Amino acid sequence: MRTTCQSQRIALMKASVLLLCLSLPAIVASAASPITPPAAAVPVLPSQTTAFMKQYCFNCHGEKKKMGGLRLDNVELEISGRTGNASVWQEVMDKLNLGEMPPSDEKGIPLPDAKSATAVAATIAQTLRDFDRSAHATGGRGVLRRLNRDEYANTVADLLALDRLTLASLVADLPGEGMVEGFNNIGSGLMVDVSLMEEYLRVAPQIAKLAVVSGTPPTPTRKERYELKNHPAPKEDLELSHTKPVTITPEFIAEQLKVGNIGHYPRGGNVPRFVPNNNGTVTLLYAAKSAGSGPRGLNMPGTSVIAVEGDYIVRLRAGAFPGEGEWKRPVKVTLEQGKRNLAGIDVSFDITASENAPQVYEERVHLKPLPREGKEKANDSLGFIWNGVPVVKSTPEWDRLYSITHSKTNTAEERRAAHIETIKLNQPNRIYDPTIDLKKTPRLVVDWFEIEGPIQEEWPPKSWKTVFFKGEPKGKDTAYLKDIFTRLCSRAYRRPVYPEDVEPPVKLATAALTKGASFEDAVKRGIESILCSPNFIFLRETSADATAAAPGNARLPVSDFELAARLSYFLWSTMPDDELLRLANEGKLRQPAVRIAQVERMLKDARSAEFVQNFTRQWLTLGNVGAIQPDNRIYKEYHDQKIEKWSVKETYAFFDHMLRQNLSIMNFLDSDFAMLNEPMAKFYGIAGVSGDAFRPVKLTPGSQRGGVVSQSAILVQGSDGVRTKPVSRGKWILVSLLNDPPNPPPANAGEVQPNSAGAKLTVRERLDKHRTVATCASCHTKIDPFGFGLENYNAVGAWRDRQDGENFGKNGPPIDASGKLDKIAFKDAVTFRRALVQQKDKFAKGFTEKMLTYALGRTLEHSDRETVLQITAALGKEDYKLANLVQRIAGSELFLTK
Amino acid sequence: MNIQTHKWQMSRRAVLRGLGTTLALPWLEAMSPLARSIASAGDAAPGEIPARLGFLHYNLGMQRLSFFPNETGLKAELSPILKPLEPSRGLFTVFSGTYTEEVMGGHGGEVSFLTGVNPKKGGGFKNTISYDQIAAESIGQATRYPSLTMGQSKGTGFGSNLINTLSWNRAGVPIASESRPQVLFDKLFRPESAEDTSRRIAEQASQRSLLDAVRADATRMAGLIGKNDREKLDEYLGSIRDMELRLERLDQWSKTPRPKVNAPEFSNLGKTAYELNDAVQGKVPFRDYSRLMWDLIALAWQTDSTRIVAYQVRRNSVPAELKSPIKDLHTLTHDGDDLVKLEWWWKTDELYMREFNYFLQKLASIKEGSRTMLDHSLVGYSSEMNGTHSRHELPSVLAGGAAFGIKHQTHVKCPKETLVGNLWETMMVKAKVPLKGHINNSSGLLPEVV
Repeated sequence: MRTTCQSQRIALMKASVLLLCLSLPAIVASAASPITPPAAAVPVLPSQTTAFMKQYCFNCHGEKKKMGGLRLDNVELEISGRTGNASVWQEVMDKLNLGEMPPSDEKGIPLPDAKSATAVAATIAQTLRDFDRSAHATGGRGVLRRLNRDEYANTVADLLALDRLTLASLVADLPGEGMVEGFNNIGSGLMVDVSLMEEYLRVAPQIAKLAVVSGTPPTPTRKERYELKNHPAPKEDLELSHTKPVTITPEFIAEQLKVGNIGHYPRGGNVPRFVPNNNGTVTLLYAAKSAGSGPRGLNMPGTSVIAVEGDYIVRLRAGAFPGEGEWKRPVKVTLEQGKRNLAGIDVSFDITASENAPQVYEERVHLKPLPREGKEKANDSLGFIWNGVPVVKSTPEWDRLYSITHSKTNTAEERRAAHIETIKLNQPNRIYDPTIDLKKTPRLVVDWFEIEGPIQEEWPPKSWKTVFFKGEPKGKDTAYLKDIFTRLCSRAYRRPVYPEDVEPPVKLATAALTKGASFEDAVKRGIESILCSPNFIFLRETSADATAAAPGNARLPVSDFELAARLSYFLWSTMPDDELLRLANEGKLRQPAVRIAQVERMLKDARSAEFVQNFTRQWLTLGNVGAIQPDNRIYKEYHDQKIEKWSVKETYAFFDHMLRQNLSIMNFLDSDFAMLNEPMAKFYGIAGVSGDAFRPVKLTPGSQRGGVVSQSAILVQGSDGVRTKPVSRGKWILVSLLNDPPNPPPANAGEVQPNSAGAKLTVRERLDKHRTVATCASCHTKIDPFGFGLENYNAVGAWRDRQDGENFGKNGPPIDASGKLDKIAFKDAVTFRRALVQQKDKFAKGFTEKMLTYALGRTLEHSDRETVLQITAALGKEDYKLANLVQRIAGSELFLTK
Repeated sequence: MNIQTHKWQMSRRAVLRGLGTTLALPWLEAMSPLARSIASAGDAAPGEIPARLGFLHYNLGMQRLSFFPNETGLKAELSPILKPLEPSRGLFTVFSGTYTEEVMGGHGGEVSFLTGVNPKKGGGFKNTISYDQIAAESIGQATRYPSLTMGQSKGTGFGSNLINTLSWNRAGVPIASESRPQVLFDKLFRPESAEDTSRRIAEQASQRSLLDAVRADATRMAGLIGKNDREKLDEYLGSIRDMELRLERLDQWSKTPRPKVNAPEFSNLGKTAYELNDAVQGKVPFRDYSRLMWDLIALAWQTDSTRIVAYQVRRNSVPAELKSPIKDLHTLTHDGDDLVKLEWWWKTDELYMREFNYFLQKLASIKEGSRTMLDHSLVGYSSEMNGTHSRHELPSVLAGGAAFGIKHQTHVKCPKETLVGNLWETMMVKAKVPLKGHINNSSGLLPEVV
């Protein structure tokens, strides 16, 4: 087939612009010096295990007695799927760990000392782990890897020049990914089943429709301006003239509050907020804090501008008085869409202009219409809230009744009765809080508020021009059809294409034309098939055993095109760009100098943010942040300042900075700088940082912060929402940073226990009790020091010198964060981090393994150890620079061969 | 909503006539207040009321000291955790002594909760078809959807610490579960206009031709890739075949309108109901979410949209409403005999049992013939482990099924190490799922209740 089509293929290639000006590279790259991989480790327990068991176990679990139906003398030392003996060994390990076996009351049987029992248990654990790995083993090769959801969205966006955010929400319904060893881009975990296929088929036409639009823009760009002076008072709101300026006095507010609200429930924001000024602007006084939904601002009801998903520009002409004394604060306006910001948009303006000289603030925002169904209809509005001071409070009596009428657990009768009582009360639901001086609280002055969009950069859009690269089609131009798909396929499949590749989309499009479809609609059909094709969704690499061009198990160099894809999915999580494809087509990409220059270019490109986020998120398990909600009464600042959100960004920013500056990876363990913005700096007690942007901040020697282990996003993962979990934190360091997981705990191992009534033991004191058990101690000596060193950070990562949380109050016992790491003593978190840096060899190896796993999209095996050691050895001579590591991985034998 | 309900009550037959259907008189005797029409119930013959199967999973087991009743028999006094089921006495049985042999208890056991193979056996662990899917292949074929896979988190979660789904296909690939009540509702009941229908039929035709096109690509690819890769490509080819079967079903059902049902209130879930991917603690109101899910199962069964449901009821969260000092269920289950943990753990379990009772009572309130829908449903639940992360003494419960001869005992002490698969096999046999021999991890039925 391949030879007979040769001439046809070349003809096709000529027709297209990209990639096709040269003759095709052979399907199989030249089999230069095939390398035979070393054999994989076989999970076999050492023979000493038998000696141990003979002495302590076989008496009861031998051929004769078989106590509990368990016979151990004939269980093979090689753990294998064939005999299925893994579960038996697991049981043996658990019993030894628990100290339950051998039983102490059995006469005549000696008891092993804790040390040797633990050693045997640890060997079993290690061998079971090897066995687990070997079960996934694929002989040092990846398996056919499909694009995960993020990669699919990014690739489609780049292939068709579509907006990434729009694509991301389009494919959000694709099933989430399988994870293997913590990463979501590992071939063996990326499965295909009918529910995925159904989604591929569902989104493909939507994507094609988005890319191939014709005629006039379907959604014209429109602008809607909202003058605040025209803002009607909500029906339930107070009578307030919008025409006459008034003077704000506490008496005025109190008077207004008296008028309108008698007989009403307390409702969000229905108090005077809009005070017109002579110059056409309106002053917003924060005068309400409702019982239920929190502070509200201004809504632009049911704007029709947001008709499709896309980018919009939101403008606000505003100024502010930031307040005085205890009420002084930077005034901030936050955009919301839908009731309680249903849409979850995250945009705010810092209003720095003064009250008397408002300025225009503008932001480009990605918005989409909210579903307009049922109750949602009323919620589809755009508006903003601001951080003013509530100056009224509800009366205790109202609060009590409100909680009855609004509680779902009360019966209808109870609620009705409270309602009647509310009416009978005949008093305002809120009263002015006389302790607040309205002259000193912040004020926001707004002139107008505006939305414009959707923003279309050009028409027809870029995606249309990408598909119809030779311009407007004329009639049923079938040659053009072929050109279009030859070009699209070669980019979508990341390689030169054969006529057979182009045939299916051309056939579908031609069939549509025959049925009378327009040329553009016909092209859409072809695009749909490309997006569902295995050539597109799998990162296919040709194989030696498919072509018999190389003997047996030998490794072959990847082709230039395959290398282009490996690089782009490693560093960009998307398809190779034109430059990579061009270099591949010219056969140059595999030249070391070219490859190195390309990696450098790719890291500078904005798309490398994908690497920063996807790798960092999974390596540092940032997806777990938010899985447990810290108690919002104890950790109020954490909630109020949105530390959960900012802390994750902090950790990304930290990795990003190190990559850009090519700093030593040892900074992950401890650093003399932090990446901070204002909320994070305040949370950490570091002064002099203002604004939401993250920037490097030099830390003083002996600072409480430095390295990832001092970052809130990491620390909060090692807590249960109230107290710290030092063992979890210790385990996290062993797993994530050192890639040296501890042995699994035996069944029914306890965790840090809450204090029993009356007792006020620190978490550490409670753990020390646990460690008095010999079998527990053996594992915990390895794990705990890593966690104890972090005890200076509380459940959400704020510094503490005394035990907090759990009702300890202000005078909790002092924190003991001392310990020893490999004989280096530390006394607190600061010295702990210094001791942690001494683990640099282990960390370099662990970190390299993690990144290599991510880069290759497969789990590492025994045969890969050599490569890891080579990389880390070389890296050590280069001051462990992060970008150098990326280069070394991209240049490693494992990355360049298949 | 009330007005519409009344309208329906007055004129159900008129609705049927109005739609011009020739459906046999429905086997549904009464509708829940939400339902307005059963114009498109499944193809149950008149007088024949189908069996429904509910496979439920409560992750991490139940608190070991407070779950099993001390006494046995119908009148056994209920344990603290099971107390909320008092109103349903006589409609359920708790089995102590169930255990799982093939499946290693403890973490990782969830992957084979409904497949019964040992995930730690290794040698390239390969899962197999789950019990709900076996049933879907036979008795599930009578309805629009052969089965529903639901859970607290969307997707499969394959490879994470805790899988999100109970269902696996024949190739051992996990089937994504749906966590969003609103999406489930749309799938089951969103009415289709004539335009929608013709558009959908056109879409299905075009999907078929797409499948043909990509199959050609896959077949060619098979010749270029290595051994390791072929298994993945086989998954892909398998998914094409499954999709074609699915389209065939849709064709068969395309002329039958979906049942008309009033939409429940989704807005209490806070975030846009369509974007709710994960119903973890603190993010949605537990009770609202829980009841929406139970209501949807009841509605799906009542309208005969499906007969089989696999639902991961609980993952790792302690409902925020409890105000437990420890927010993480897993932490609670490592109780280490700590009284505080044991207390909050059983309180969590008890709350889930209150919700389970809601479901049972809901099914029991719907009349079907001379019995109730619960009598025609076989609802089983268990866990991959029990309180001590062990594979012994699993918390296993069977409810409903009186119409198929289940005689409830409240509490039965099974012989030690009774395989938990016997619970599932009892349900499947009673629902007349044709089985060749025993299912995995089972040795037969639970004789105490059949």
